[in-house]
Amino acid sequence: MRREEIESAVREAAEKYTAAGASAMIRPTSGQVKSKQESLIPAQAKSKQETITPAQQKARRRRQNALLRNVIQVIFFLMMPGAFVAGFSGVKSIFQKVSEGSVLELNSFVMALIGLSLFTIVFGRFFCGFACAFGTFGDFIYWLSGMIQKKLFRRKKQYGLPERLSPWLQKIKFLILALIVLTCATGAYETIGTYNWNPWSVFSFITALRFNLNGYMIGAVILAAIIVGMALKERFFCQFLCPMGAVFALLPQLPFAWLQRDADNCIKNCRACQTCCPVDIRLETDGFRNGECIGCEKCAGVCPKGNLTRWDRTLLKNEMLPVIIRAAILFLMGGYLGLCRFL
Amino acid sequence: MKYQSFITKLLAVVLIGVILFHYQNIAAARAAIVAENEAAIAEVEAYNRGIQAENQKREAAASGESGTAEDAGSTAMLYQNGTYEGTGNGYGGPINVSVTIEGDTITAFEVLSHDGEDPAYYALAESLTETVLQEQSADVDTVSGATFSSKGILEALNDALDKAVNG
Repeated sequence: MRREEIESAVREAAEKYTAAGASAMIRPTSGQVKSKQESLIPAQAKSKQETITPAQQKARRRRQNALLRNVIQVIFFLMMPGAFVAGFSGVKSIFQKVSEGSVLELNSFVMALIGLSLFTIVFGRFFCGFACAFGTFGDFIYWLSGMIQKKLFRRKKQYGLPERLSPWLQKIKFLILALIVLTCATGAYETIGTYNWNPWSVFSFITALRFNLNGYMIGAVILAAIIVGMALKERFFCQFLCPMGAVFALLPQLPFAWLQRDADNCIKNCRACQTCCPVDIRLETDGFRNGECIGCEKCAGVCPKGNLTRWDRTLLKNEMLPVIIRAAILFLMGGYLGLCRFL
Repeated sequence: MKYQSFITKLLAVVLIGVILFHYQNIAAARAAIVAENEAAIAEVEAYNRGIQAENQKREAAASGESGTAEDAGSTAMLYQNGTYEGTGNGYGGPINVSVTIEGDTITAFEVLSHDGEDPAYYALAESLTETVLQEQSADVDTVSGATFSSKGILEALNDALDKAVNG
């Protein structure tokens, strides 16, 4: 643990240093005519008064991006808290129909599944990163846990699971998906009555402000365990357990939906993007290709050289606009599919 | 290869699509046969019922008590005729329904308001009204995935039926 702390501190320092270096390289252009020693003092004074350094600008942009993401998350949480359940109920509905041997129908759940899947194929797992109510809930729990650890226990680094376990734990969700699909397709889902194990049902009680958990005790216990996990690891449920996430990860997401990383241009041993990644993608070896990326775009914000790009970000010369456009498309689609509570 | 994973996943999804498409064709063919058989059975049953009714009429005419039979039936009914409204707790609020009963049969059952339900969930739960009319019972399975909206509708139905009970 201590070694990791030191490593992260060094990394942070390196980030600051490179950012400061970049700013030092840019700043003197205004006062190139003057000698270095003369220009240094007024430049510093000036920066305190009106202009901000590129490093500060970058930090401010990161805060704005984070704020935008949180605002979108809250909007979707309030308006479409049932979207992820509806999408996965589509999967269950298909296989339950198969177990009965009856004709598949395009009911509203299957439509939600198709809609979310198409959106994910075109835009990547933007839904996971920005719109899923359970993901937002997990982000909130992790943030809360971090705050408590910082304020009460004065820990600088949040407790967490070791990063090297993540690729293995991330496979669990495929097992869960396979298990649910199998129980649905054999009809066992109904006969055993595992519906009261469903932590999402219990979660949906809470979003509907109903606190009568009669008959859902197993689900409540599982949800409590998940909350503990969420407090220990960012996006714990999303990356390790979520069966809907497993479906999304198995979808053929179009390669231009992802950020592209220009590895040749990277600072050696920087790893800033990898360190901030909530789902521990090993960008060096895996890239974005394994379907685990939840499209949170944190890496693009943290990269000291702006090495993470995507066609729409480049085209619009803006980081926020593509996010807003995606959110708007998703929102309209969700409203059309009947996922919005107030439409 | 750069797009190897994309192509494998695409093929997998296409494969699942093809399998489900085939399944759909087989299931549709089976459903058509089942529907045909059911129609044939219904025809035979209707024919039988017609004969039974004729026989009963003949018996009644023979014994000469045709006038009082109907009155005796109405006092033995479980529910009063009429339209009744009921309320149940859905997922996000109350669900109001109205039920029309004529001669112990539910002739109409509809949901009047469902403000608290998410549209996608309610759309599925709404199919319960047809199931209830078909089964003539409030004891039907909830729609899986839309359990709370379903329970709300059935609760409201039971509430309405309680008001309609004779005596």
